[in-house]
Amino acid sequence: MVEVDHLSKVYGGRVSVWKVSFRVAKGEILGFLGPNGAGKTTTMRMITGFIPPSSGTAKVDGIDVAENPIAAKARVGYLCETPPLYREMSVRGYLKFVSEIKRVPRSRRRASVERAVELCGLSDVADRVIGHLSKGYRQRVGLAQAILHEPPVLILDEPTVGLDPAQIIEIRRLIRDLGGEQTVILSTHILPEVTATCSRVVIIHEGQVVAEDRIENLTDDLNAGQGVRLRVARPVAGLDSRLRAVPGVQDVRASGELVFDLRMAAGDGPREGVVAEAVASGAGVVELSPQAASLEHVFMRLVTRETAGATA
Amino acid sequence: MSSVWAIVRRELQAYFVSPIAYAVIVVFLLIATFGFASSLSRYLTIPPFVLEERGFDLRSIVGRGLVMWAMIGLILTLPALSMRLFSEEKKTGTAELLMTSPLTTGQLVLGKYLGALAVLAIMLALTFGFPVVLEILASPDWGAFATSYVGLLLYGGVLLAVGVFASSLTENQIVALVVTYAIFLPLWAIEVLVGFVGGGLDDILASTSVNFGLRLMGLGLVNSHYLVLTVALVFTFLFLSVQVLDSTRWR
Repeated sequence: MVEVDHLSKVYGGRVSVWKVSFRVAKGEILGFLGPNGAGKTTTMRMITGFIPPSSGTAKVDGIDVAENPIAAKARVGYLCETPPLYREMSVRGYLKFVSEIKRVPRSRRRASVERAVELCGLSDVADRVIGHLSKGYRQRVGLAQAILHEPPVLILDEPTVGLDPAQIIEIRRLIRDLGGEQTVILSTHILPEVTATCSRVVIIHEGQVVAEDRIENLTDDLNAGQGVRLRVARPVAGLDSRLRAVPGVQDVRASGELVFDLRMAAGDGPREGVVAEAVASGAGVVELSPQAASLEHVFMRLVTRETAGATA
Repeated sequence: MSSVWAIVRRELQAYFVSPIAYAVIVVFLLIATFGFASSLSRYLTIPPFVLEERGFDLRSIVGRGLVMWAMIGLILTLPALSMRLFSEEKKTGTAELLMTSPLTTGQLVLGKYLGALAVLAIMLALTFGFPVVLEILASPDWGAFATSYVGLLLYGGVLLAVGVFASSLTENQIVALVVTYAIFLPLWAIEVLVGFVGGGLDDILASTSVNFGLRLMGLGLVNSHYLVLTVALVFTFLFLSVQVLDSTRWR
């Protein structure tokens, strides 16, 4: 649905985005992840046709954005970082204006405005002036504007920034509901957001793609060596070396006298061995918990590796 | 085309929801009223035999004064109307909505321009009372009345096109305002040179001066140079605005 091919943007000698390529299938929700200033917004602006790429192509629904911008733009709903709102207009008036410039057929305008109002939970404020709304509501009006013309592709640039936790959950639910029918690209620098909403993730750092995969696959790589945290009841001298001797255990790191972080081969055997050893030593097992590699770990590893490589 | 009207309607709404349009219209009407009153009093102070000798009448003196003052009013108010057109959108980020919607830049510029032009038309329509009073008092010459208004509309049209262009250059409205004057003042000043250089050059300068053309229109003379000149200037500046917006390196 969205094909990005070697997309680059160079601003006066400074590389902002460099040869970014990825594909998004129909109905997929892609998380576009990266630290601030990684080039997420620039990439999205190139896909939406707001800025021309220095090189490379972006296609939406098979249509090249640079070659046929009008047709491509008609197929994209876009919520930029700061919602593009006219403060002096009412919510309904604004959405009506958007329906006109997004070329919604006259006969369907009213219905699509009401649908967007409904979906984004704006019924209570639909006739109020946008400038008087709270930030959460404004963000929702921004989202309503993006989904209004039922575009096959939705591009959302940090849609939950500045919202309170309840609102964030609501917006995420809405995005998940839209996925399946619509193709969504969602940028964020908040990792749990990706885990909560997206099926696949592209990680971008300093303008380049550093990882692209399904979330499970990315974390599986790290989980190959399992992390386990062991907490014991009493301190026993030399326990860490006894644990290290258990077959299958790769690494033991003591954090304090009672807590040990272990890295071990997959399977139940090593864990059983660790528990037996700890009990036999007289330390007593209080807790044994698996430490799943979260997206945070993947992200930090990729980003720091990239930086180390760049400075070398 | 419906997208263009959508933008025209939104611009008009933006002008009349905020105090901008009202402020501009009030200032313009004050200047026009002053022009009407002062030229009327000037007429009354001229002895009748001088008027007869020179072939002046109420209509020519007051009509000319009214066009002159309306011109000054337009120069003082219209740049304030046009400065926000693109600058504000750039500043608040709504440009991102417009530029990612299925609109051509030409449609966008045209819509914005027509929106401002509609306010200008309203401004001019509100001054109809003065010339109507004048035409009824003096021997009516509805032709001169019509050409004066066409002349003023085109004059304002040039000012607004320059303003649209200036606004497309910057996200700062004050800068847009200053640039509008920086571009328009040379166009305005050409008239001053007419008569100084002499010979054929005078004719050329006169035909490229919007002020000179407007004066002739004010006298009831349809001046084809003026019509071509103003329309060409409007197209030039709108075309330049499209070029600027298409090539702007957005942040």
